[in-house]
Amino acid sequence: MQFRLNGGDRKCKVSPRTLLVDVLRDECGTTSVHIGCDEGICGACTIFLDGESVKSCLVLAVQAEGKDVETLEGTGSGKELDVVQQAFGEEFALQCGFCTPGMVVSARALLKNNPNPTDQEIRAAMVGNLCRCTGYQNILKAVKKSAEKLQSG
Amino acid sequence: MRPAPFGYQLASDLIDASQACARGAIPLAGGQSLIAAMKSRQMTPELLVDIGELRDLRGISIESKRIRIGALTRHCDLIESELLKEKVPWLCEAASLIGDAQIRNRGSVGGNVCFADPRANLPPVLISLNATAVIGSSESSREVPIENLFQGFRENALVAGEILLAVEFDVVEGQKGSYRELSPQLNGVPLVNVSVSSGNTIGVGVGGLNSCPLRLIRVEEALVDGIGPALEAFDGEAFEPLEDLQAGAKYRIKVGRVLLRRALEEVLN
Repeated sequence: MQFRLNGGDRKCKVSPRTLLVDVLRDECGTTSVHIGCDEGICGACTIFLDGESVKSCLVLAVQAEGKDVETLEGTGSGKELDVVQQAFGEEFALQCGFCTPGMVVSARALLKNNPNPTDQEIRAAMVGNLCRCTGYQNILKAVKKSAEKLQSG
Repeated sequence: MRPAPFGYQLASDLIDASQACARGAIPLAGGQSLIAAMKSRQMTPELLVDIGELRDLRGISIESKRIRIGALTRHCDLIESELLKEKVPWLCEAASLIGDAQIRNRGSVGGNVCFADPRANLPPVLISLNATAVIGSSESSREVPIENLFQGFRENALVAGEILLAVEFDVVEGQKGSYRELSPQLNGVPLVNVSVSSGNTIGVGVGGLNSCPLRLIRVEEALVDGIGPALEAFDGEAFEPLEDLQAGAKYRIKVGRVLLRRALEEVLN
């Protein structure tokens, strides 16, 4: 299969039953994509597929043929944090950090379509990402802060 | 877990897909139910035919007051459709309560319907709208009332070679409707869901009260005498809901009655 990953072309040999999440982690080394529940619930494996957030544990690798995949590794310079990541740090929106890559992707997906979301809209948009550490309050704050920063440029 | 080994074929057109289905392949659309079921080995198909690239099956249109929703139309497309928001907002609401943003970005109407889970969000609404399932194969096509598609727990009525192409329903001026569900957690799989739609006749669809989604014909008939008689008709139904750790049968029926009353009051009053 061939697809684009974070702007570069990738070629992989996969069997039909290979999941996209396994290709990303094992073949491509993009290990920001985490496997949490592995059942499509927790959202730790959330990525952008053709610009839309999806759970890569519920996508067959072959379904990504010719498509554009973006993971956390593909944003920023690779060394510096982007606005959303920075806000997560500043607001202590993570503790163990396992859910964070998925959270950041979902937050970006929300802010792309809705640059100024209400608390309720943030909660609704992040339903598919579970965090067992923070109690979500600080994640909410981090997304709000990201929205403010992105809007003020 | 990972799915058991299977063959994979990317369909180039409908005929291609239909011929694969005739050989026993299962159509793969968004895969948000199918892949999960394959990972848990509840399903172990030998061959999948990926219909994801059949663009003709995608989209929402209206022609002489009849709305057509292509089978590959995703839940996020339903929620964002200005046409549906204007004509049947309760269908958009039901779609918005499916899974989460990530699931709705991939899950399709056809998958939600054909997976035929008794608790799926869209079937009760489509039943209440008197929707028709448009089914095609490489040889023929047919249309059936949507409720006839549901044959049992995760069993649909498609025969070898057939693929769901679209769902269609009429919209009527001033039409009202309601979708109600009770779910143990926000956006979770509902225990029970109910939809009522007005129109030329009032349609009532329920999920979670039997092995598959149902049209409540006796409730619909009793509605000419009002909500009270309709609820009595509901009490007279012999439901056989799923029972699991979340809820027993009696509780689900009780909840179904409450949701039905609220939906009827919303639509009729």
